[in-house]
Order: sequence, then structure tokens, then C-alpha cells
Amino acid sequence: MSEPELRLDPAIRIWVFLPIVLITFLVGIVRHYVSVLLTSAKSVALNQVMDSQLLIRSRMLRENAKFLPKQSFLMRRHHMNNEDNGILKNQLSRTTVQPNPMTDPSMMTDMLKGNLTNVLPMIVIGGWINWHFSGFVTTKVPFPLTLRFKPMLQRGIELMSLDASWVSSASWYFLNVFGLRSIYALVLGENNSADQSRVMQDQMSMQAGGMPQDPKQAFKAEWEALEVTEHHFALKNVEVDMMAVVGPTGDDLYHQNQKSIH
Amino acid sequence: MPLNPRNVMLNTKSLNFSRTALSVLGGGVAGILGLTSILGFLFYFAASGLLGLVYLMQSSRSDGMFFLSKQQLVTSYVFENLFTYILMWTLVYGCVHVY
Amino acid sequence: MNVQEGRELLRSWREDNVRRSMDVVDLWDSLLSQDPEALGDEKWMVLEQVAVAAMDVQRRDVVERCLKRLKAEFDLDSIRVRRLYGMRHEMMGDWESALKLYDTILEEDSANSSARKRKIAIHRAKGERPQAIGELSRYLNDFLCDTEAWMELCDLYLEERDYAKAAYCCEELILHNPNNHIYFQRYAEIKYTQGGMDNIEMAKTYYAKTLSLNPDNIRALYGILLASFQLASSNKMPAPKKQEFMKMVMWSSKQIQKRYQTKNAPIDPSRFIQAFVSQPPNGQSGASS
Repeated sequence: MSEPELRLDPAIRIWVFLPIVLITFLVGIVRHYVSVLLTSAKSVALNQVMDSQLLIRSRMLRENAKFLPKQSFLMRRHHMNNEDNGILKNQLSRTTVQPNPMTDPSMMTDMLKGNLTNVLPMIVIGGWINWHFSGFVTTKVPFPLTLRFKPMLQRGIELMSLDASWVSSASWYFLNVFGLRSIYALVLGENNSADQSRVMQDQMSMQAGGMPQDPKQAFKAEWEALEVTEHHFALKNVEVDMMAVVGPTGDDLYHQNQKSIH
Repeated sequence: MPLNPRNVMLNTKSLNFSRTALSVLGGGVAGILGLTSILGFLFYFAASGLLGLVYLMQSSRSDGMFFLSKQQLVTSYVFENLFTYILMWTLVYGCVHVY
Repeated sequence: MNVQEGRELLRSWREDNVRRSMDVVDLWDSLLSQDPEALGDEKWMVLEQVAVAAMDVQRRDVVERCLKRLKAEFDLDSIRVRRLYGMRHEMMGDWESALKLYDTILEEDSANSSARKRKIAIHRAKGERPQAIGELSRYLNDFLCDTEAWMELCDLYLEERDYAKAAYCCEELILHNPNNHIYFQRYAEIKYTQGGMDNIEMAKTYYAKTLSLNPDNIRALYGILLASFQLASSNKMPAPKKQEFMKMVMWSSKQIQKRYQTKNAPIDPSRFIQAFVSQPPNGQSGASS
């Protein structure tokens, strides 16, 4: 057990340390419920349903065709990939309009709502904590940090010789935000909106609202994959499998059956 | 092989829950004990490894197959809950030692 | 059983989509109807589940009570509530009002699959099988992966004796659930009914697959027995193959008897087996293979 170099006022503990934890936790929960209230019921258009189901059906065909007789598989593949009127081919030649986030109002509002409920509170509360609880050291993290972290973690404390492990309240707040993520998963169940960092990742990797250009590429990929699929009838040796599973013949009953049948 | 996706999800959720509980309790213990820097991190990884071993033993003793891979039992969710561990560790360490 | 257990039971039935309408209504009567408010947030789903079950067993009092509570909370703006009212019209036999209601739902939400399915159900209830088949095929053009609908279409085609199309629907089912032995068994039975040597061989293969998935499927065992016997008695089979098929006949009949013995069944299957294998075989009348 190491002796800490500084003694901090216990009042900090009661009035700063713990309240920040509480604030972060409660704000997260409030944010979750607010986003539940704000999310509008997404009504899916019929052709989007058709697209996604077509893709699923094509994938099922590829994966499980081996259980079908060859004739059926060929017939289905022809139905999908046919030059003239195969349904996958038709989707390829369809022209898609890319929904622009600027012009499409519903997508705009969705993005705004997403930003509002997730990023804004974090910035606002972080700033407020920084302003309100500034000028003193809040806590010591139990592991040593390099000097590079000092300006980041010790905002507002102008001491050259202070160990980088002593951090200000803003950095304690951010540590809370990251640490409480897993606990939200326990308390609120999966897919909860209090899990901010995942939302930020989603925003960076996701295109506007779904699949504007993707259906065409997805269809093209499916079409090619289906062309290449070969049909290996999985049921060729199924009788051997069946014998193995059900049980071998017993010789004594063999003769008995011969008498009873003939 | 037939898989029931709902059960798979429930199983991984309970795995996540147990790991999170381990981080919370481990963080508390580490804070009270006053572990610092490398010792603290070692403690977390040792506890996670121990939990993984316990799961491995239990799964080899039981008949049903609850998880798809043994490796998943031991190593999943360790780094996700590292932050939670650090948070609890800092919290309890701060409460007990700094003030 | 207390309320908590009753709730759990209802939830498991709801999630597994089990149709045990009598049991649900009994559970409601004995346990939950005294105080449905105690169910908390789940009560809306429970009310919906009980209402549908009560419609199945013609318990109008239960239907009225549940629907009144749901309407008080959600009003007729909710599509789910409207669908329940449509189903109530169907229960009373009032097809016109039901159809009108479903049409309003579809105007509002063109992708609503349950309203379309109810319209098809109305056709079926009225006995208009061809219309039902037409509507269902159109539905399946849009919703290609609805397993329930493919099963219904398969049933409709079987009622119409259109075995080729029923086989197509069954193949869809297999594609989506390749681990379900019932679908393989059904496909085998359709193939066997179609007749002809190729189809019967295919049927035998699929019965074998059923057994490898579920070794206790007696129907599949009988299926193998019959299919093998048909194949063995055909004139067009070369002798070594005939022997193979006869061996399969022996094997399957032995397996059937073993099963009956282990279950201590009071009947002796050898009479059935005798009857099955003494029928005139299909292939000998010169039917094309």
C-alpha cells in the first residue's frame, strides 16, 4: 500500500467525486428514456421489404441448395438469374436514386435527433463540469501516466511538478462516461441509447440512413455468387448416414421378417 | 448444425453480465487493497483468466453445449469491461486512500 | 399456479407461436382475468394473445372485454388494434366489414403483412380456394421469406391436388429451415404421392434424410418401407438393385417392430406391414417413370 503524496480535502470526495459519478449515471439513463420517446416508428416502404427479402432468399438458396434435387435448384437459379426476366437481374438494371441527407427531410430529422440526444448532452455536461469544478485536483488514478497526458487531464491546474496521475474533474467525468457503458448494458438491456461510443462509431461508418447504393451492389454480388454455386446433392449418401443414426440390422430379426412378409 | 439464435444471444448476454460484475467487484477490491499501476492491471487480467478457467471446467463437466467455442468463454468481453474495472478501481482507490 | 407462472407460460407460448387457444382462454379465466392490470407492461400483449385465442374458440365475452380494454388505451388509430377488430368481424362472419377494415390498414401502411394475410384467410374461410391461392402467390412475390405463408400455400395446393406446385412450396420451406425433419418428411410424402419411379426414389432419399435428422420418425420408417417395396417390385429395376431395395424393406420393417416393442404398444405392426407390402405396386401398370 503506497502512501499518497497529497492529502485532499474529504469535502472534495463528497461534493465532487461522487456527484460526478451520479450525474453521469443518471444522465445516461435519462438519455436512454428520452431517445426511446423520441424515436419515430420507422415505417418501411414496401419495396425496401421486397429488396431485403429477395437478398435473404437468394442467400438461402445458395446456402441450402444442396438439400434440394438438382432440377429444383436449377429451376430456381434460372428464375433468379435469367437474362431476360430473372428477378435478380431486374434489380440490377433498376436505377436507384441516392437519398441525399440534405434534401431528404425525414433522414435529416433522424440525424438531428440522433446527434441531439447523444453528443450534445455529453459536450454540455462536460463543459459545465469543467467550468463548475475547475481549479482543483479531483482524484488520483491508480496507475502512472506519462507527462504527455498532463495538459489533457489536468485542465485548469497549473502546476508543473504535479504527477500526471492527479486528474481534474473533467477527465474524471470522461472516465465515468466510458466506464459506465458496460453497466448500462446490464441495467437497461442491450441496444440501449446510453451507449454513446457505439453510436459515434455507427455514425462514422454508416451511410445516410441505410442502403442507397448498396442494394444494387448487394444484388450484383448475390447474382454472381448464385451463378458460381454448384449443386452437390447432400442427400446422395444419406442412407448410409441414416443407418448410422438409426441403428444396424440385427440378423435374428432378419429371418423372422422374411417369414412374416413372404 | 442447428442453432437457436435466441439462446446463443441469451448465453452471450449472461457471459457479458458476469464479466461486468467481475470488473465492478474486482475494481472495488483493487481499490481497497491499494494496488497501483501494473499490479492493478495484472489483478484484472488474472481475475478474468481465473473466471475463464472456472467456466472451462464447468463446461467440460456439463453435458450441454452452451457456447460455440471455448476460446469465446475465456476471452470475450475482457477488454470491453476493462474501462469499467478502471473506473471502479479509481473510484474506490480515491475514496479509501486519497482522502 | 400463481400469476407469475401463468405469465411466464403465456410468454413462452407467445414467443414460440404455439396455437393452444383453449389452454390460453382457460388460463385467462382461472387466473388472470380477475386483475389484468397487475400484469404491468406486458398486459397489452397478453390481451392481444388472449383475444386471438378467444376468437379461435368462439368466446365472445372474453373477446369483447379484451378489445374494449385495448381500444380504451390505444384507440382505433393503432393498426394492431384495427387488425384485431377485423378479426372479430371475421369471427362473426361479417366478411365485408372485415375486408373494409383491412383495406384501410393497407392504405395507411402498404407494407403491413398481417392485414394482407388476414384477407387471404377470409378467402380461405369462405371456401374460395383459387382466389386464396392467387392472393397468396402475389403476397409471396413481395414477402419472399415468410415461412408461414409458404406452408399455407403448400396446404392449399395439396387441397387442390396440384402436387408439383406443392412440392415447390415445400422446397422453399426446406431452403429456409434445412434442419427441420418435418419439412423433409412432407416433401417425401408429396414426391411419393406424385408417383413414378424417379419420384419414389427421390421420396426414399428424403425419408432417409428425415430419419437421419430424427431417428424416431415412424412415418418416415413406414415411408421407406413402402417406397422401397414399390421400387423393389417394379419390372424395370435391374436385379441387384431389387435386392438392395428388398433389404431396405426388411430393415425398415424390423425397425418399425423394434419401435413398437420398446414403446410397449398394444398393437402388433406386422399386420400393417403385411398389408402395405401386399398391395399391387405402382410401377407395374406401365406408368411412366
